[in-house]
Amino acid sequence: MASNEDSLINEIKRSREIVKSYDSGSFADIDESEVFDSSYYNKIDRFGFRHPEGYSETSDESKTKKKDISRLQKWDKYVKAKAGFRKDEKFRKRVYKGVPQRFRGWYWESMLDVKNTKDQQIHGNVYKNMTEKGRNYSPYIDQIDKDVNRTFRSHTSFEKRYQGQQKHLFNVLVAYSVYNTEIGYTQGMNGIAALLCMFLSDEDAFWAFSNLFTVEKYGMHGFFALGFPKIERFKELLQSLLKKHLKKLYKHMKEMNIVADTYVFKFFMACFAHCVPPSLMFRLFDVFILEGDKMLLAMGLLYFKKHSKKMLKMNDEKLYEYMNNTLPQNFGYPDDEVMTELMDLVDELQRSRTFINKLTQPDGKKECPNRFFMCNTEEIQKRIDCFEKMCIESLPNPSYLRIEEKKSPTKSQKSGTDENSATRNSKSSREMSPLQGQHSIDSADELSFSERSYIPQSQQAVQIVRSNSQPKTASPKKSPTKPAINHTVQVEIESQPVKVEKTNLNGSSVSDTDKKLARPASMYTNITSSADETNVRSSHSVNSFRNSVPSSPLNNGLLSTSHKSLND
Amino acid sequence: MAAGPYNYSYIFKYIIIGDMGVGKSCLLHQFTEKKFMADCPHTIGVEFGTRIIEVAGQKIKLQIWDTAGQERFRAVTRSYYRGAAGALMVYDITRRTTYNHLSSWLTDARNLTNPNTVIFLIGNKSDLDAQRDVTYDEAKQFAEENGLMFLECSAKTGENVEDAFLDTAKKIYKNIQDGSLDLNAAESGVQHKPSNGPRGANLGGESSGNKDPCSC
Repeated sequence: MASNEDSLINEIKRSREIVKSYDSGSFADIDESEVFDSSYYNKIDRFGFRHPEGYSETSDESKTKKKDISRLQKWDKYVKAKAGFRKDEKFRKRVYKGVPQRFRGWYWESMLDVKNTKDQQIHGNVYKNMTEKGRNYSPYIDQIDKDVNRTFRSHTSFEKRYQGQQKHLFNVLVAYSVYNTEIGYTQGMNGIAALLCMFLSDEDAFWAFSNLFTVEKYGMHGFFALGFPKIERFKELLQSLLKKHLKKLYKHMKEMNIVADTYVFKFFMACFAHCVPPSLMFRLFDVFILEGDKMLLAMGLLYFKKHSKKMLKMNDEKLYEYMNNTLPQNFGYPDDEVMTELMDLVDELQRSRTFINKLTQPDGKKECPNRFFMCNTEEIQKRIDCFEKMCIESLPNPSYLRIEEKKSPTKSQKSGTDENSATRNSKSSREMSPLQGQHSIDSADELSFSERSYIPQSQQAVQIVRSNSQPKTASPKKSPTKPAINHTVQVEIESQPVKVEKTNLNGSSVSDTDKKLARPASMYTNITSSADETNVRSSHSVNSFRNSVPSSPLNNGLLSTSHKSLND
Repeated sequence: MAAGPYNYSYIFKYIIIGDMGVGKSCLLHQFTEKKFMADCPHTIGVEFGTRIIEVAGQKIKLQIWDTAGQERFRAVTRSYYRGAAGALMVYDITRRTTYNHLSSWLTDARNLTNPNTVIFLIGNKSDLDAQRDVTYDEAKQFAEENGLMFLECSAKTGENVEDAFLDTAKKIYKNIQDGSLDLNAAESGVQHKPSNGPRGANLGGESSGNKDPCSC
């Protein structure tokens, strides 16, 4: 027992050292192997990735760069559109043609509904609370730290240990690890979070990340949840697509015993990062944000289709080598060509009823969060208790985090400067988009080309709440007897198919939402109060944390279990 | 490329296991490419590497499966243990926790491979002697108690990396020679090439070998 406690204390000590290293931006004894050798990779591309001496921009890339500039005006219109912009077919084509680098942050943020999600927090700033909680009690700090230091190390903003974007990535992942406690942290989450951090502030990246996980259209939760249920399902789906569309290659790969696990994780968890060169990677991520998870399958198929002739001539060794080393450097086709074909393929797949049926029939519970977010898992609670027992003072949030205070209007968010501001394109895009996020998605503008409707996560929460508040009988079951919020608290949502009327889903303003949330919030008070009890137990030394704990786990779509029901 | 259908006579299947961040992929990279990969991304899922070596005048192709280290990936990586002739179990000499977890890795390795699988313990990052957290002697003792082969290596400098992979192969080869490893057994992790193609239905990605390796 004692040794268990000792090892926990050691781990906490180690975690705190790590957190402090990020805060101070340095570490007494940085192992030199952890420092990226930037002198050798001294050519920097337009995305900020380093390349070795001798690298030069391909003609394709310089063309794209020019086009990027010529498109600025068209995109500016979207940004400035007062009533929000229509996510229509024309817009969709624009995205495939290429989101100008300068607007990428704005595009991600508006597509992922970051502004609304943030606005609909009703009990304080969740990101702020979660970073503070995570930095003190996350059981994943060591793992996250290990991975942060091997995420996009060839990118200029990630190359310095404990500095630049590494800080922001670390905090976003640590905060998320105590927010979505069903997952915590799974290797691979760092890739997506890092992409978002390249273009968004921490807090925005956090919410964008969160929405990618819980909004059904993306459903990334299922890719990272224990047992990887959605990876398994998508692996099967991709195999059946290959079998149907690329029969020869499918057979060949089978004969060569090419193991799908060597590529499906990279395809689906990281949206093809490390499978294609950076220029294409960003564009694929743009399309993913536009189309949702079906894009991953379309691109998976296209990936093999484009190289099927060559691959047919390769044995296993060469195939792996080709996929791991050649294609990430040079995809062999102009990005524009890949994009055009991808769009066609997405369309084609969408026309296939059987495909869509398979796509939209997730293994329900397994792929969605089943548990309240922000609850104290056993591992977290152990740490909170230990802090209390040992009178460890909790670490406050560092000043470099740009966390927006809830009350302040969002117009000028340029608070806080960063040593790394050069790469924070989000800033420039912000300046150009005072109206960011104000385009609520109204029914007419909904992604008409999407099979499933885009439901902002925060609004899902509303729906969940309503589904529970309707049948009164469901509520008394819940937790008065439970001493603390813990993972056993579950809400039986699936049992009540929620009827979602378009009018409710769309165009509800923030105040409307708050009203809707008000009643269910009280319904959850028993859970909430038990949460407070938990934290009272760990009083004294953790006071500062306790005070910042959100009083209700309700805000921000803590449960997205309703994926399925919303879809009915 | 050499004449004949194969320029090797055996295929040995290896698996590399161990906690996250101990340097599994770097060891593999050092062995196959003979260089250190400083910006090595973490492994998502599984990776595959291969190299042809020579043992007692026989050319042997090593097929090496490198796995993600995070605990929750074990559900995926477990299926790659089956049919492994060699398992390289890695810890980081500068992090005791990675050493403490060895017994659980060893349990997996023992339970999921066949009794003849050669398990080789590697203490990686031997170049960071100043930060050492696990002594050579205690690891050596652990290895002896559990009947494992053992070396401290450095994926960074390359020290002993070659030896770890080769010694494992030598031991496997010896097991074949003295008859303790039955090539015909399913999941022996070894395929004998020259006669009539693949043997056994080993799961986990052995080249079936009924096609001429492309030499285009």
